[in-house]
Amino acid sequence: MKQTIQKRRLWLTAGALVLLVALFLGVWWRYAEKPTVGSKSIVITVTYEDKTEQSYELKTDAEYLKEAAQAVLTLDGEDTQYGYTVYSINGVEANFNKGNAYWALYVNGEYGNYGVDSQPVTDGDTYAFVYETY
Amino acid sequence: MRLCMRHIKEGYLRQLVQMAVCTALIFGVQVAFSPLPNIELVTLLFLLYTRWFGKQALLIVYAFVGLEILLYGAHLWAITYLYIWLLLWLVAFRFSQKPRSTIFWAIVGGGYGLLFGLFCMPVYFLTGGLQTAFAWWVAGIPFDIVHCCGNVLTILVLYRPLDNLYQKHFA
Repeated sequence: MKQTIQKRRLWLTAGALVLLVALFLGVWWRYAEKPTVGSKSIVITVTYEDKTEQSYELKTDAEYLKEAAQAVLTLDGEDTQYGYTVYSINGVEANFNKGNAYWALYVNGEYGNYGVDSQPVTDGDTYAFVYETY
Repeated sequence: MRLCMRHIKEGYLRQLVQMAVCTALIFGVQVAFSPLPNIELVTLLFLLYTRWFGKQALLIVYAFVGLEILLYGAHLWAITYLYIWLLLWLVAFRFSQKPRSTIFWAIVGGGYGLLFGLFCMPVYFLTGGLQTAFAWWVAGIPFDIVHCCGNVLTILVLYRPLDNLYQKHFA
């Protein structure tokens, strides 16, 4: 009897976990940033190691930043478990596999939550690639 | 008396060596699995280590955290690591007093993987505010779900065999 109750409790907990997964998916579906279709005006800036900055204003139909950025920048990197990882911009390398530098991505001044290939492009936004070290 | 002290010393040394090997193993496994998105054996191993070493498993937890910081550098995630594995140890320690089924531990590991992002949120809240923390958590939900499924599968497949191996040869 006690074992049956314990088993039932276990399966109920497993069911609760599945429900929680569904709930999280719902939150993600509702609140995750989504790409917008059509023309957008954006600004892309690059800040190099010596703090010099290049700025590009562009119109793009790209839904994700990688495609938009490739119109004005030379990006080099590779697909990793977290998406496309940028190792060099316009020939300037910041590869954390080889040193302690990396290209950080900021969206409207806030640290980006997405990789360059999953960052949705939104009209009027500013995207900044910044050479950072740790 | 002298014999007794020798036995205590041997037991102590034996456990120390085991814990050092376990630390090396968990660190090596983390690095080996790092190319896979949120598929890891760290949760499984910490559950087992807590079962095997009890309170001493905390030493492995923080040795692991130290090694991770040495390898990857100190970022915001490093602050989360200071408490997030402690949470897992607390849960594992609380429930490892009685024998539990593999399914039970799979649920614990799955839940931990699913809530991993949520547990990290306080640090992002303190550094960037609620909106930043929420956006960061939402962006990572797909990874948390993969983490959950990965933990459930690895624990279902490996928990019992690894525990049996340890109990048979090393306990």
